[in-house]
Amino acid sequence: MKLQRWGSLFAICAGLAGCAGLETTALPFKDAKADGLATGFRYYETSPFLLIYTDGKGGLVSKLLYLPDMTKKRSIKPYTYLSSNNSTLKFENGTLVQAKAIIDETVIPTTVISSLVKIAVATAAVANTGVKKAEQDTMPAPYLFRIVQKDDVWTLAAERDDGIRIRYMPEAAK
Amino acid sequence: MKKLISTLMGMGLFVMLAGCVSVVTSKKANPNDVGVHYFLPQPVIQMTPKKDGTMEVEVVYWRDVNNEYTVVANSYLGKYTFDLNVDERGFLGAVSFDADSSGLAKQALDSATELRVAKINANKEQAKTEAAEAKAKEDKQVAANTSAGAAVKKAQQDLAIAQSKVNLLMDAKVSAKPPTDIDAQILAAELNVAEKEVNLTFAVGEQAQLTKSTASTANMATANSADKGATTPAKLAPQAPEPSFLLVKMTEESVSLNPAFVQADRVTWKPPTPPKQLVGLTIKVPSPVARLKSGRGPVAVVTANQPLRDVFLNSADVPAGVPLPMISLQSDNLTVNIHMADKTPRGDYQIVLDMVTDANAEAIDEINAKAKFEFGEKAEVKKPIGEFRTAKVRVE
Repeated sequence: MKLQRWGSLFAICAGLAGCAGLETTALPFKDAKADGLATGFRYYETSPFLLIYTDGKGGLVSKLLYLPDMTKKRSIKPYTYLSSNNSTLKFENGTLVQAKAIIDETVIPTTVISSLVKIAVATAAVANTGVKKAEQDTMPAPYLFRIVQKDDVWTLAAERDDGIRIRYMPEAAK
Repeated sequence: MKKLISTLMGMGLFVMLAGCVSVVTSKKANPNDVGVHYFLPQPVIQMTPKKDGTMEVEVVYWRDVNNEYTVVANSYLGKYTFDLNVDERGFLGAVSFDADSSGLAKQALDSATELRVAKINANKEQAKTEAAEAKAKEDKQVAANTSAGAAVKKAQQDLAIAQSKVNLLMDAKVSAKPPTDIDAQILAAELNVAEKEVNLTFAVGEQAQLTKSTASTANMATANSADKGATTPAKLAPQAPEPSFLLVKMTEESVSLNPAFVQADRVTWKPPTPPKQLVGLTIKVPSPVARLKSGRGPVAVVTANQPLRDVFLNSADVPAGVPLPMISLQSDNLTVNIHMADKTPRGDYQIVLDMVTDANAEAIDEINAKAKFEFGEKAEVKKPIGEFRTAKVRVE
């Protein structure tokens, strides 16, 4: 009888003893309430973006960037109750860069990237034509596109203000 | 009752053996919150424009003050190590939890303390380095100014001496018994004066450039001083537009770039170029005898020891009525052909050439370019000063 009682006690404790790990929560975009209630380390997931800018020689340069996606905030919390938990989280520029969170640049097929680059370059080139006299000694600001995948369709999304110009000569020299 | 006590004792013993109960929480920061603070990043596209229309584009991350959080760690009935690294920008680095049998869990507090100590030490080191650099720069500037001043003084003295020699020779010429080669001596002395004048012009130019550079540096230092804020830069100091920073604003479906600041102009500076070693211009006359060359009349050849930009005829002692020789600089910029006129009678002639060296011309070009940059079209354009050299030519 005694043996049975000690056995049940150990079973309960063993159940409690296994309680350790990492708890990850997705925090909805602009949801201050959820952000206020969360208790884990905050970080952003990354998303792919396409940056296009002039090379100053009549051509355009494109770069594929994986930026912290400010619309994908996460909370990760290590917990341990009656147990041990040896773990390391590594963050870089506000993103989690460990194991499964490591950026995998092969996630977008190469052919898709090259097609998107062509579209983006064409868009930027059209916008660059017809520079007014007042805009001399300036260059167009870069173009940043979000690469969006819906089902099997890849698209570029951007809210573009073509009025932004970057000066490369001082105002007095114009 | 006995059974209950033994049960509770058993559970207590197990809890103690099993290890720690630890709680690490990270929550939205309030101004007075204790614990380690960290921020989420705001991506920014930094564009540094260059004068040639190209630009350097870089993605940088600023701390997003609207996303500031704190970390607090607590542990009950257990021991563990908690390491938290926050970089200088305020972003999370590595966070590690490790079982530790040697001490109680107060490492969160230690981490925060160590972080503060490290920051204080880093600031102290940086201040020390900056002070040393500023002192070295100041010493260098003083030495350069002293050296430039001495160079101007010496050039002035040399010119005065050369001018005195000319005056003495001129006096000797009108005396009762002038030396037979008095004209040649006067010419040589006048050439020497011309050379000293060039030296003085360069020395004064270098000193002016140095003074301007010092003033630009001082203006920049004033503009950078935090207590005085933005100061109007010197009117004539060269300026360039500052880098542009574009904030990346995201929505779930799209993205946009918004300028963080209005792009302003800032004073620029470049270190003064070391004075060029002036090599005296000398000429050789490998072919002093002018003979018929390719049916174009007698030609004598002169070579210079350094590249020439231009060569003109200053004077030639050919008899009256005989056309003056024609001068042509060859494509190697070192060889000068002296084409004597066909009608030149046989004899020895002194041809004085006005030679503009590349080095002189470049120095004047640089001065003109600076003047144009500062004063625009109103800038006074200076012409390069030539040096006189005499070639003795025989026509046979």
